[in-house]
Amino acid sequence: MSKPRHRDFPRILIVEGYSDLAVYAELLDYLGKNTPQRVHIEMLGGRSTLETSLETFINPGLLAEKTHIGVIVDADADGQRAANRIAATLRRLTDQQVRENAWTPATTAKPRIGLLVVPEPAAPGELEDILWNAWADAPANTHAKQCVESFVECMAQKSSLRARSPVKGRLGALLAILNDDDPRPGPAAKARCFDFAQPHYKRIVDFLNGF
Amino acid sequence: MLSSIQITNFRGFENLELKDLGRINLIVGRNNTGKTSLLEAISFVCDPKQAGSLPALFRPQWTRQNDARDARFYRWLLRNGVEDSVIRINAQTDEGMLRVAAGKALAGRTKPPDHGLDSPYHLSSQGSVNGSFDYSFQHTQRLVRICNISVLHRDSTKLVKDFAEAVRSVSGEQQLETLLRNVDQRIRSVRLDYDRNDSPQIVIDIGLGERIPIQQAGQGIYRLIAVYSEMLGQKPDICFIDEIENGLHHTILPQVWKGIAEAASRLNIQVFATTHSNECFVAAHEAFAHREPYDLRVIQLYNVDNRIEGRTLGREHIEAAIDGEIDLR
Repeated sequence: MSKPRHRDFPRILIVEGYSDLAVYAELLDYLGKNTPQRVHIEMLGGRSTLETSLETFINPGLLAEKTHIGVIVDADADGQRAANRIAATLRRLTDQQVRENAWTPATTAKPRIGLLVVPEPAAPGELEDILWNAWADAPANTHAKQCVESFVECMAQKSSLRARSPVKGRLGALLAILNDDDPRPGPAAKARCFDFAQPHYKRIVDFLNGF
Repeated sequence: MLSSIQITNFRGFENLELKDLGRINLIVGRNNTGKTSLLEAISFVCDPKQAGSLPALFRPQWTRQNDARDARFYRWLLRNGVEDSVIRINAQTDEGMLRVAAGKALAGRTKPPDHGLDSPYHLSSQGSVNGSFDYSFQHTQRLVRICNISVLHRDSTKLVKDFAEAVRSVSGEQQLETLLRNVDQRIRSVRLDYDRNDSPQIVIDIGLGERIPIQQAGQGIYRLIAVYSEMLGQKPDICFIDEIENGLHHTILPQVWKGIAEAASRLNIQVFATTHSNECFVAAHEAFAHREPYDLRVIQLYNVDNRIEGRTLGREHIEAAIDGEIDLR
């Protein structure tokens, strides 16, 4: 099945992967911005090819017909480097002073361009860190959190099975219970497993409110 | 082979510059982004003496009715129909530079205007179409031969003529069969024959014990024979193929592209093709992905505030578009 087309949407949010796409779609929905023909979410693939994908996707024709183009990427191991590289690429492509965690000013001639690195440039990690920490830090989940931690630790100690990404391992174990039909973050977000009112989402919410 | 082209004041192009052109150039863009106009601009700069043929070259619906209608066509070659503007098209090739200027503003000049070429040029001339469209040109190389391949080939008489031309020499026949075998190893030979009405037809041996009319050999083979016949028969430097996917199922496209890539490389022909099909674009990439050098470019045209702009995309960006399902059309 081909992707939905962005042509009918004045605003575009660019993300890296499908899981991100589904979570941000729910976040936009939560903020009341996912109404028809408001924001299109474009998935452009992972970090290694993202700059080339941005160069391919963003052209003067696209810039002429959109009002907002936002990009959200994971910090991964080096969030500052990610922020610098993507901001530089966006500056070159759009001829605007793009900065992390900000939108360029509104003008009639150019779309607003925004960039956000999650969790934040100074903290290595990815969207899953926010999803896990927001749930785990809630007082009501203290005991359940210990159960998940114990499960992951037990798997590592007694079977030598370790998740490649510890946070994804913990989140997967949690979502296998919270949304056993499909324990991936996107479907779990659709199933309302995450509380977007938690302060952990504030940076993302503030950024998405720029649409 | 054209490596770059700059087009000023021609149709929707205020100032379009395309660099890094390849052997095969696939032109994509929405309707009214100037795909056919780009083909016309390339035709004009390559062979300005054919300016009188421009109206019907890529617009089959254009039937020559009277001079007044043609005059209108030429008036609108100038961007926005502005009569005192001048069209300028400059193209860099392997061998030299092609430059053409055109428009009412050139009328009455006794000698071609200086196009600013430093090197001694081989050809410099001027002309006029219907007395209303004046042009001058300077080429620092021989004239570039162009050929517009009609992908539909519903006119079987023309196809037979093109084929006969292509296989007139023994080497031409061998070359055509080799090209076809490289795409489909079942093909042993292709010949001219006569049907029951004594009309010439093209027949093909695919190992069935009897040659069959090419119409029965499948659309892919039919299209390839049509394309190869024009390439080999006319021996152009540049081929244009407008809406190359027209009438073809997408499953045949990789085979067609493989064949075009093979022929263009062997015969040293540069191809400019337009498409509206994403499958066509993906199939073209697949045909080139295993060839060295990777000689496919995508020319993407888009409309920016009623100006047509464009860019040339190479392998890295073509692959990013396919991997990320980025719609370039």
